Amino acid sequence: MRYIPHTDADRKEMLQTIGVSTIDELFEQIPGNLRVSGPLNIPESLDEHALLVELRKIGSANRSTSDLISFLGAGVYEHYVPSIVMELISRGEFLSAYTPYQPEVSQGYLQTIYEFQTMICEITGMEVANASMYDGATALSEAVIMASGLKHRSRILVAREVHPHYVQCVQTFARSVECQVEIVDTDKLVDTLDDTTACVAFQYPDFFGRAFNPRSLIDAAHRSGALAIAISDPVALGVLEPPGSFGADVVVGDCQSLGIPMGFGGPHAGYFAVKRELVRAIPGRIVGATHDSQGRRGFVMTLRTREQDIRREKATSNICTNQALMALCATVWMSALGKSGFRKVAETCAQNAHYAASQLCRIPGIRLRFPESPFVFEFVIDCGMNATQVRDKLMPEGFLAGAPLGKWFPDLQSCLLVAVTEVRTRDEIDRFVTEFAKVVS
Amino acid sequence: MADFPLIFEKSKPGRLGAPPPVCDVPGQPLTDLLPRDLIREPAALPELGELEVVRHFTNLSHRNYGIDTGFYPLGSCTMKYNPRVNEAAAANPSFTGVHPMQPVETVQGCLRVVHDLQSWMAEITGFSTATMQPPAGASGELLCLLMIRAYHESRGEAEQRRVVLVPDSAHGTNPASAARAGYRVESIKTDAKGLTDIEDLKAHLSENVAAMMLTNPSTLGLFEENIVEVCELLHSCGAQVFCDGANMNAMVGVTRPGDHGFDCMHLNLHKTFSTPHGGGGPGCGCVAVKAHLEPFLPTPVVAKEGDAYKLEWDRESSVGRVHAFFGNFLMNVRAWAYVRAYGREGLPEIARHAVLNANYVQARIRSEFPPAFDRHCMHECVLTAKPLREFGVRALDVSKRLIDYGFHPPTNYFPLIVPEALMIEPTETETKETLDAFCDVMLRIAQEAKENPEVLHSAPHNATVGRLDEAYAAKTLDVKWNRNPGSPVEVG
Amino acid sequence: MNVPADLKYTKTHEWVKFDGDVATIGITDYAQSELGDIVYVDLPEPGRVLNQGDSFGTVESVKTVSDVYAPVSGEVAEVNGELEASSELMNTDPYGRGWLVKIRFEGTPSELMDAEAYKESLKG
Repeated sequence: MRYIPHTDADRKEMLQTIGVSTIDELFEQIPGNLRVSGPLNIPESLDEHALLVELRKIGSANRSTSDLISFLGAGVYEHYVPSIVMELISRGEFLSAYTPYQPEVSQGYLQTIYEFQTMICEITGMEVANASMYDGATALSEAVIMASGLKHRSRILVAREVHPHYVQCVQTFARSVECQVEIVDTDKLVDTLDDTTACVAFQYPDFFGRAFNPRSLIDAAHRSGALAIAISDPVALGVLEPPGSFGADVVVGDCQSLGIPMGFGGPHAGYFAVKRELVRAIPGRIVGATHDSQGRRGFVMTLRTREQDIRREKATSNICTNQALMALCATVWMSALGKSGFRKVAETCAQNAHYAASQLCRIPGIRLRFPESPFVFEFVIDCGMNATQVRDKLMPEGFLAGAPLGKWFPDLQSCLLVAVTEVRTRDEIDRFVTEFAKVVS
Repeated sequence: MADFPLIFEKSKPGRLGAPPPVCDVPGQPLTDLLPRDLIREPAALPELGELEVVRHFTNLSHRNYGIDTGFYPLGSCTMKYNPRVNEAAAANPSFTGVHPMQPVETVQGCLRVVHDLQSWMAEITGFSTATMQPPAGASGELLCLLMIRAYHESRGEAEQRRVVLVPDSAHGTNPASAARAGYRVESIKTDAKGLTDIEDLKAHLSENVAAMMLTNPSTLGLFEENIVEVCELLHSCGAQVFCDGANMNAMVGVTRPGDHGFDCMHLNLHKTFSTPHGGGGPGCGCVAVKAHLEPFLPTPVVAKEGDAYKLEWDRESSVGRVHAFFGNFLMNVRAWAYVRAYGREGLPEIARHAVLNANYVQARIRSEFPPAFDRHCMHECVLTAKPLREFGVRALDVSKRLIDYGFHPPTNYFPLIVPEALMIEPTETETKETLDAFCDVMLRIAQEAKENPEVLHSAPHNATVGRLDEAYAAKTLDVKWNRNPGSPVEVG
Repeated sequence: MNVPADLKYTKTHEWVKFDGDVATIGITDYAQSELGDIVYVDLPEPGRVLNQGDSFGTVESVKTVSDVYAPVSGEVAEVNGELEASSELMNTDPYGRGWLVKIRFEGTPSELMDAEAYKESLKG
């Protein structure tokens, strides 16, 4: 049997040692009427070759970046991934390990997490980062629940210009812990804050790609005694002053931009960074440095008493794992590109996006929806016609044109959210603009 | 010996790593693109050449133990072989290169994988359908409770039903998830046979109970013989029963929780269905439900219409989203490959051999490490190191000594109700020779405990580091590298 | 196990020293040895009013966390600020520099044990 190494002789000897004559006897605890009697309704077994052929056939029913030139972002981006990234994270010692409960045999992973925490702090401008969360949306949900618990307040303000899926997650999770979530335009947040507000969560740059100075919003939150939570794409923070510099208490987001495959939305990894004073309240794992009896440096999971396996119903969260392998992916990616490479990625994104925006705006009837707002690599264009139709017409030409916004923002039916990253070439952008012009003419 | 350097300690200003794509559009000064007050100095990431990065992480991997390195009998974690065909399948660019917000016609392959798995997981567990959205087991648990809460709400009983019952042997995630779903937790005792104490359960039943969370087989590695009665008792007072599927590896193809009377359950694809644990995630916490809970499933629901797959968004009773997209999709591709590798005929052999291996280990070392409950176990055995206490040796010492002999330790001190617990889950993918080697070492360690306990107290001796000062770590909280050594705490 | 004769004790392993209307409270030698290395203490603000049996804080070691309970009713008069930086004092000097809080107490506390009774309870 596949992956089961037992021979008949093994089974016989083992049963003898146990003192039974058949494997079935070991299942006698299970009442007979609860045993599966016939075969399950599952397809038959496939050998490895047939299996891969079948999955390739299934995969061919998708369209992907293998055959599409993508200008679609909205929280998930196509970025350059150096070859060494997948190579290194596929090593069996990483891939097939579990949570580093036994630090003496897990120093490799523990150190990579410590390095990850350091890099996330550096990018976000924060003092403490945890070992990662499931994704950006659940990281945000945890952040607002943490704020509510810390402040003993139940009112949660979320900017309307936060990724709609993130908002939906917050609504799912906040409801059951008796928090009220209010969705407010970013520019009205300051006036909406009051002394019952636990936190205000805003995206920076926002879902539409707009960069803005968040200092006055963060200061206003602090005057109301609320936490300021920023949601940021880490690559945008390659050029933008990080939320930590403006005084944000919590910065969360998704590491997908840091070398993780889009993979139809997962697995990615959320990051969660805070000011040091909040460290005891944060969810998830944290790795800290220490030493052994001979004075050798080593790393352990620390502040474990916050966690579910010790604190049970009083834990800061029910999360057990992080997304260790994906956080490792991000760590290797950040290490491979390094200081200058990371900056270069962010700058090239910005250059490509501004070039694309200016070329698109030369098409008659096409304009930027928010011409006054600076952006890094994502922007909204008004197509002057239904944006979903524009997208659908560009698909056969081999372009993923962006995210039509009408589904979430009814006043933006004609608007498309366009992302341009460092992997796009001038030729691809020019061709996109040419086809775009045909479609909207 | 010098400390193993951090990547930051190998960094040299000006050294270039992997080259990102060249910018070939007409460039403008950054200050023309963004306001000056929003432009930062470059983030201080490390600066290394590519080879140095490869060596750094390769050498770190050598300081880590995985299933690929050796036997990993970590109880309740199901550390079985992660077949490499799964990895090959998931690396296919026609899966990795798909954006989750593409039009539905362009993601039919992904949806097929999700939909197939939904049906297979429902079939294997005996429920009517499943969702693959929760990204981890704890997330799946919480989703189940949110759906149960929505179900009670739909019947106008949400206000009264505020209590969730959890056995005293349960994983910590169960009460933590219950608290996250807004419930108060009450603990149910375990009886002398290691099963749910029916009398104690009855004493806790009332119309205030929303649900019971039950792991079956329990964390003691024992099947709840009275499961049908337990479910009936809860249903008779209007409560729902959630099955924690952490231990599904004991049941695949042999028995189905849906047939036991449970209303919903979660599965860990990273346990039973062989997707890699990856050092603690990504997992996948598939949730299977009976028909009465279907209206509450998270959106979007993946459904099939004729030959096409579609996403259903408009489901008014849905609890909402629990993940930004469709969960950890590439884990689904791996689990798809695993189910098809075994096929209908092979799946029951997983549980049968997992149970065989666990009982074999229990039988071989029970003389020194007696089982907490003296019965055949299911896929894992819970033993106790209590007899060694008289020599001053604790379960943790046994575990650390195992490292010296090249094995990963079992789970220690869990379940909480077993003193000096050693929870051993060998899984079906281990050979008899590996199990024998492990058992021989366990017996030898028991001898050492009696003759030379100090060698256990100071173990491990051969690892990259010795026992680490966890109290120091918790007090100093050095959780990121500090450029300026000497002050471990950098307050920004 | 060190159980000073001049103190009173609770079932939950706190000790109490009475001095006029002020009760000084800490955890016993037995409690600290069961917890192991104590790494963090969470104590109330002075001024908080407690009833006997209320949890007034938590004591954390690396892998466990325990509530501490008020053996008397009254108002928190003072907390041991030294523990914030040096929680190990609870391990090294549980009856001295490792004290937790001083409570200005009211009424007559009930159900406290003397040293002999507490020693006896540890045997059971």
